[in-house]
Amino acid sequence: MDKIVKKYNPMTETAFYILFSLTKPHHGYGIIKNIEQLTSGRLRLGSGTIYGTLTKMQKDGLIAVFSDEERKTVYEITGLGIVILQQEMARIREMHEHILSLGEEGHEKN
Amino acid sequence: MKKTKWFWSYKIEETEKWLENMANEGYLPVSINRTLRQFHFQKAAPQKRVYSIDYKCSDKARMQQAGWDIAADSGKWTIFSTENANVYPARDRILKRLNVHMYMLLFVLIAFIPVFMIQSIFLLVFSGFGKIGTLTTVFGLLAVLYGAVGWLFIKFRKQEKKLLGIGKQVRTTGKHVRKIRPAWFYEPYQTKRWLQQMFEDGYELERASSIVFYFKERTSEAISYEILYENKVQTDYYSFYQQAGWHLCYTSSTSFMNSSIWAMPYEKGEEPPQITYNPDERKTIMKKNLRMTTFIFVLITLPVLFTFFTEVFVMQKPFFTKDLLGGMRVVNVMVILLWFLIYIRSIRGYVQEKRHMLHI
Repeated sequence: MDKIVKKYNPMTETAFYILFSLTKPHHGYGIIKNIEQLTSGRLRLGSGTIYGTLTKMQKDGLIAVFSDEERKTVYEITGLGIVILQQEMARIREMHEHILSLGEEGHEKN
Repeated sequence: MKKTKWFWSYKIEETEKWLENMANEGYLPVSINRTLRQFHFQKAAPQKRVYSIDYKCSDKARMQQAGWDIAADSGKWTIFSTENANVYPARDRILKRLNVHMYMLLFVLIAFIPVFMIQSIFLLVFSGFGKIGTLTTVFGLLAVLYGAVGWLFIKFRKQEKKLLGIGKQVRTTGKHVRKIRPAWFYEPYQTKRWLQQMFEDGYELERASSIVFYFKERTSEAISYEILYENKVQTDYYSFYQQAGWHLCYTSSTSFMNSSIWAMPYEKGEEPPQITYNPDERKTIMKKNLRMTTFIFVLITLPVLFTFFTEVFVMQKPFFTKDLLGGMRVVNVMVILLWFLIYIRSIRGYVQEKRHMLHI
C-alpha cells in the first residue's frame, strides 16, 4: 500500500481529475464529459488517455468496476482511492493557501 | 428439486436468464453441485427476481450494500439475487476464466494433432498401406479433430464477444467497395493514411477483415481513424471506446495480441478527435505496434534463416536442387524477402509518424 501511496504522490492532473470524478460512479464517457465541464473545456483528454489511467488505477486498487442495468461498465472509487485522493487534496490545499497568502498581486508587496 | 445444466459456467448470461425463469415459476436456487453441474432449487411463491453470477467476487459487501442477497455460494462462485438492482458485478473474472479454459483446451487439442498423426503413420505402416479402410478412418478422425478445434473456438468466441460487449457489426445495404490490403496491421501509419485518402475520394470504412476492407459511400463530413494494438484486451475495452463515440470497424478474433480499427466521424472545423492528445502516449501506442511486428518478424524469419544458412553454408548444399528440399529453399527465401519488406515498411511508418508528430 505504501508503494501505491507514493506512486500517486503527487498525481498528474489527469489522474487527479479522473479520481476526483469517480467520487460519484461514472461511465467512461461520463468521466470525459465531467472533466471537460470541471475545467471549462481546458482539459481535453483522449479516450485512450482516460482508459489507460483507469486500467492502471484499477490494477492498483484505487477504483473498482461494476456494470449497470444495460451492462455498461461503471467506475467507482474504493476506500484506498479515497485515502489517496484526500492526500492529494491536502497537498493542493497547502499550495492554494500559499498562493492566497501572496495576495492578488502575485508577488510580495514591499 | 435438482436440475442439471451442463456448461452453465461458460454461458453465464443464459444461465442467469434461466434462473430468472425458474424463479418466475417458483423455484429459487439454494446451492450448486459443481461436480454434477446441478442446481438445487427450493419451492416458493412465483416471483420476479434478478440473478447475477460472479466468480472470485472480491467485494461481496459492496454487492450486498447495493441490495443483492447471496442466494448460493459454492467454491469460487457466488449467485447473487435481488428484486431490482442498478449495480451489477463486472464480468472481468468470468471472462478471464473463460479465456484460460478456452486456450488450454485448444492448446491440448492442437498439441494432440501431431501426436495423433505420428501414431496414424505407425498404424498405416504396420497394417499395410493398401487398406483403404484404415486410411479413411485415420483421415476421418483427423478431420473430426480439426473440426472440433474449429467448432470449440467459434463457440467460445461467441461467449467471449458477448462478455466483451462486441455487438454484431453493422452491414449497410447498398453498394460497397472492396479493397484488398494484406498485412495492414504491421503498418498502421500507412494504413491510416490510406483510409484517410479513401475518405477524401468519397469512401468511408464500414468494416474490415484481416485482409479485405469494405467501404461504403461517405456519409460524414470528416473522420478520424485509429489503429490500436493491445497485448491483452480487458473486459471494458470495447465498451469504453464505443461509449466514447468510437466506432469499431475491425478487431482480430483473439483477446490477446489484438489489433483493432476505430473510426469517429466529426464535423468540419472541429479539431479531429484522437485516441490521445498526449505525445508520449502516442509514442507508446506506436512502439507497442512496432514491438509486436518485430516479435512476429523474428519468430518467422529466424528459424527459416537458420535452416537456410546451415544447409547452404554449413552443409555446402547447392541452392537449386530438383527435389522437395530445393523447392522448399526457394519458398523459404521468398518468405524471408517478403517479411523483410513488411518489416522495413513497418519501421518506415514508425519513423514517418514520429516526424509527422514533430511538425504539429
